[in-house]
Amino acid sequence: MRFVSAVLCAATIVGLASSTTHAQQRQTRFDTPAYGTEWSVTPQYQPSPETFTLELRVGAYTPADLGAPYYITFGGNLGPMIGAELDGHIVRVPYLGPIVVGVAFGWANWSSAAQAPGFTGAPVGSTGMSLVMFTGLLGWRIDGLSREFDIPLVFTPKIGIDAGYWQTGLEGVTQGGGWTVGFHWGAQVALELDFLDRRAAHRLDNAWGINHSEIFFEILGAEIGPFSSSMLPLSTSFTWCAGLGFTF
Amino acid sequence: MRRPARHGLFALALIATLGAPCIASANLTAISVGSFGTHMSVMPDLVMYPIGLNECLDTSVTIPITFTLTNVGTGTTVHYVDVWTANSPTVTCATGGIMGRGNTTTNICNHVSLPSDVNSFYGGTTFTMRVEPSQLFSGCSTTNTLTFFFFDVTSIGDNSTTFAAGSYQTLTITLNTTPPQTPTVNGPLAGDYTVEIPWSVDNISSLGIAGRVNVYVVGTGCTPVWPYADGAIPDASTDAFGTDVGLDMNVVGPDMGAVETGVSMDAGVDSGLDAGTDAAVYLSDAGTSIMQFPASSPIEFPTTLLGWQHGTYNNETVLLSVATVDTSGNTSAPSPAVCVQHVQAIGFWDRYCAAHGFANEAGAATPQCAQHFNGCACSIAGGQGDDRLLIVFGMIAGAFVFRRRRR
Repeated sequence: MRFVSAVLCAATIVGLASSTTHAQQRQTRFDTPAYGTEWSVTPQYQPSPETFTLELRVGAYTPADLGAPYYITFGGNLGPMIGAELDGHIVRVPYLGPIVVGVAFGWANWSSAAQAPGFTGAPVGSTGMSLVMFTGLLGWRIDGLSREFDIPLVFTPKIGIDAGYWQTGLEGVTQGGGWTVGFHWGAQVALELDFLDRRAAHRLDNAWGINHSEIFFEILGAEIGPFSSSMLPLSTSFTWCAGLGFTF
Repeated sequence: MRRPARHGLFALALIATLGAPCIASANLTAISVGSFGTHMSVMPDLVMYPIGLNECLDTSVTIPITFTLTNVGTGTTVHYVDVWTANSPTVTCATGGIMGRGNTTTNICNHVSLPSDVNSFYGGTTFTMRVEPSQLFSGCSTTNTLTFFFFDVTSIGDNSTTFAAGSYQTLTITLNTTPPQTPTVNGPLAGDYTVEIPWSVDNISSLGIAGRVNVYVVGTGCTPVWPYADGAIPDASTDAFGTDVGLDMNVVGPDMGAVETGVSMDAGVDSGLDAGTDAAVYLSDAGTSIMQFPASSPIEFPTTLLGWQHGTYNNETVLLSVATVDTSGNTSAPSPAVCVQHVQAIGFWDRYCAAHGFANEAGAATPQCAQHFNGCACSIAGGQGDDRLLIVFGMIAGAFVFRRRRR
């Protein structure tokens, strides 16, 4: 009987040792990280610094000061003008938004059929004019509504200086060209798209550093060339553009 | 004793079938074709872009075919590259006898006779044979694709030996004698700085990757047709669609369209535009070729090539004809001639300069206009504008300074 007890005891010890070994193996497999660790380490969203805003735009541009020669030749040709703008955020006004300085580039082209003198029916080749515009500007991105009240609108007044290089030609031959400089103003309203999917916006920031993406509409005007008789007046008193913007 | 005897018989048979050409000659183990005429230096080019008729007839054009030889030996025996061509892609001229080169009944293989200074050599391991296309395509008469067999032999015209695979080389060459389609050109045309000639063929890609267009001046003095009353004769852009029945040059008279077989195309019946000049047109390229262009439409070239100057207009006219050239160098028949007139074109700049007193009597912008409005390298002389510019520059500069000081 004592022998039987001893055998049972030994078997129990062996069984316990075996189960202990299994328990240790399970712990070994799952002990690091512990259950739930992956959930607990999800970081809270920390927005990256906002330093620049990039805008890609397309709009209309009609150099109205060129007068009748322009309208007879090109009619109601609006261009279009396509371009891009990069603004650097230099200082942030509390609760309102950053003051920015930026540079912009735009290109517009107008073309139509050329005609014989006094004859309007048969085209003789083509005529065209192109304008490459470089702009330095100062603006104020008033994003207080979006940052403080979750109203996703940003308003940006701008002023700047323009330097445009124009060329005009006939039948592929350049007839004239030169630089024209002047002033520029603009007023932009942008709709930030973060509200459509905030998680996606945060992921975009984490992955690419893009804090906000937006669509915008801008009205603008330019006084270009009226300050010197040697410059071609390429002013437009009122026009528009629209596009996509990214703050990063 | 039996096994060695069988081996000996087998060896004799092997020598009889394969050994003879090996003893008599070296093996041609590689072949390459150098560039010639309009062709690149790769062999498929000869098939994709065949030899053209002009190349075939031009005795100054030779095809450089380079062979690499093995088993040349050290002797001074003169070797020959013997060339045969099969009359069918399924025939192999490597076979001697009735199944190949020796078949004198149906001549399924034909011997290509070459001068001895073309195909003879001795010594060395490479040999370049320069053969004229007309020596491969006798007469250059018809479009044909032939496979040529090249054998290294010590006697010309051997039609009995069967050459083993790897001891000879083949080359497939196509001769194309068919000229490309004659282009259609719609006129009349006019230009000031430049002339645009729209042309078309049914399949422009048939001209090949190196297709070109020749423009010929075939006469002068066609009746000025520009300007005409608005709408009386539709312009070139509408003529292409055949919507202008009855008035433009293409319709009147028998000569616009199909190429004629005579010397004179029209005997002066079509609007008086080409009387006496079409003879030059049909004498295929007898006119002066003024330029060759890539095969894209429209052709555009400066009117200075015709001796015309912008700003001077004396109703200058010229008859132009266009011909297509395919990659093989075959040239089409010239298109019916079209009248091109030098006319003044008015563009934006002419109008703007005229409005500001910088135009000549004809209404064309003068050079002084461009000089006046060139912006003077952005130097603004006096005026209120200077101050405003300085203010904006100052604001931007101040902003940068402010930001740097904050840091």
